[in-house]
Amino acid sequence: MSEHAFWITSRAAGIIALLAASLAVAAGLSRRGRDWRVVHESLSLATMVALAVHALSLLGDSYLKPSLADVTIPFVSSYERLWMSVGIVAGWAFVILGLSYYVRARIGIQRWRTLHRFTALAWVLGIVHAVTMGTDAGTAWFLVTVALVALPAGALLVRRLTPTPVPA
Amino acid sequence: MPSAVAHEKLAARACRIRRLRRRIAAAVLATFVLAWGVVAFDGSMGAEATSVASTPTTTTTSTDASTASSAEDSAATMTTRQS
Repeated sequence: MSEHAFWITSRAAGIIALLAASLAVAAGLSRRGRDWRVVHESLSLATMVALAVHALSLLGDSYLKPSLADVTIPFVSSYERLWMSVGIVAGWAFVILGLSYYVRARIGIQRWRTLHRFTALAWVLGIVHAVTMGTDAGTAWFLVTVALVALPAGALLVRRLTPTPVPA
Repeated sequence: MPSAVAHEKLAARACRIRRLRRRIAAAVLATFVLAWGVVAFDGSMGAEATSVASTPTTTTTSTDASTASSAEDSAATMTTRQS
């Protein structure tokens, strides 16, 4: 068991990142007052911590033996290059766009709002990464758990992106 | 005094937010532990090492031990990986 500890930790952290990100996106899109904003922020921070654990714990895996560059720079790792890169891009996008909240005054609120919308794209890329190269992607428990949080968030995203008809 | 009421309301809100953040952190941590357990016991572990070994055996077929045969199987190790 101990020889797999890093591998299991990385997989568990990846699952948590996906679940927390989905809930954060759903909370962000629901727009139900200030408490929801706190939930959105807390879940986003939890996602960032989980993403860091997901990537860094892989460094201890005795089978893959990736370098820091392999898990942080897209298209460096030869292992599942495309889907690994999709995950790395999604992770960085989520972290950078998420942390930009704390410097939104410097960026400009309107510009920050425009940027913040791309977090949803990072979330979608994260799902693509998990489904295409996740070790647990073929298991029923993983698919059901992810669907339970990702589908409502996806529905909220579709509703947000659908233009509201202007009353005549 | 309105400012005292406002101060109380702000303090109550700060307390509620702190409690909410703590609950979310606890829930995320608990889910991580649960996910770790599920992944660990689900089976697809990645690197799996299965050793199939038989202990050296000596079989004596006659009482005077003139004919003895021994069979020894070397340990075989099969390593598979599912990522």
